[in-house]
Amino acid sequence: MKIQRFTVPRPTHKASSTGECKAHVRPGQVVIILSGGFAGKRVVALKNLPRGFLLVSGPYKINGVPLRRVPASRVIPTSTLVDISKIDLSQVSDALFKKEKKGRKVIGKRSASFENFCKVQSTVDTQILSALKDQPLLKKYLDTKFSLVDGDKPHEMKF
Amino acid sequence: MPARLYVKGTFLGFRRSLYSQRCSTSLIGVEGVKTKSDARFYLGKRVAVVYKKSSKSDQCGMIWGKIVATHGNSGVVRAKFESNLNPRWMGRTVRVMMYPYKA
Amino acid sequence: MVFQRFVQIGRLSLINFGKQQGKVVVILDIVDKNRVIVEGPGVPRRVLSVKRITLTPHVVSIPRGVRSGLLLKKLEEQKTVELFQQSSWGKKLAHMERRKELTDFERFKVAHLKRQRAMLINKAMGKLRAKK
Repeated sequence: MKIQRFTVPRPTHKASSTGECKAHVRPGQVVIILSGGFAGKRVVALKNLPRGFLLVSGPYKINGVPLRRVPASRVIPTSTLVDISKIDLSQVSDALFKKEKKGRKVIGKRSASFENFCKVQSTVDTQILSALKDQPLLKKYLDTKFSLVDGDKPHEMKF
Repeated sequence: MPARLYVKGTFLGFRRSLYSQRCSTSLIGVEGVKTKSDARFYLGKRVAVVYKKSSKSDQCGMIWGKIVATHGNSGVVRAKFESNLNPRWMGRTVRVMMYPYKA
Repeated sequence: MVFQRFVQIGRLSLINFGKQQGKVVVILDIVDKNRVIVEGPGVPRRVLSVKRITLTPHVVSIPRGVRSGLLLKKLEEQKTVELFQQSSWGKKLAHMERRKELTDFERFKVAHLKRQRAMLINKAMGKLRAKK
């Protein structure tokens, strides 16, 4: 008799050779950012990117988190989903996030790439916002930071 | 108010035998963790110790490390830091971060 | 104080330690002064230390060392487990269990509702105070 126990393949914790991230985050999932300037913010995951990164957006209008690439290991995926199946991300590319060379700042004038970023940001966000239209509580949820308080046990909590 | 995204832990001491200790591995008790299986959640998580650089100034330094193993059966974990912790800090609170998060 | 709950045959109790923590069992027999034989819905018959169980106020009337089938039948007939679940203790346990299962969004909703309730209460209290 075959013993079932030994036939189950063990999960590997290595990153796959293609550099694709272990996709434990589905597009549309609300995730909690765990580190950096936006730590504690609940944001909407839009897409899995190569090398274990995630494309997220606050949306900016709700909680001030812009379109951003964050490491998937530094977020907690929650079980809440926003329906973004129809979202158009064709304008979002790595080039969009490239920082400009530092030159002399002209006060009161935005650079062209920043203008472009804002435009893409608002088109993506309006699509997310339309998905959130009838859910005021979900909007409020995204607007509220996650925080641990005394007595919280993250090893027992469900997200 | 900034969000607290770390669990409070205590630097209990170094890994040791009866007469010798290994300062390169520190033992950390995590708040609310009482069993080995609970402690497994924290494996690989980053840990930070915040300390004052001198008694005169308010400048703070941070030593980062990560949790490498469980220790014993009552939820204590072992951690390695980028530089060994000051033994005077035994009993101090450390921050056990929630990342890297494994689904 | 006179004792109300006894380690007796038919006493409904809760396991308070180990993997089966929180499960409801019935005392079927007493081994010695420290150990009893228990069984319950979803808990196979076993010997347990008296320390590992918490006694509830409910008792099933069963003969000593009754077999599993009859035990379950008696429990159902006398609705003992249901009675316990409807008591405030049982309700609290169920409530705690539900709270553990909450997702992040659900926890947020609970906090939100609590805030709203507090607001209503404070408003009403404020009005009462103003009247005085």
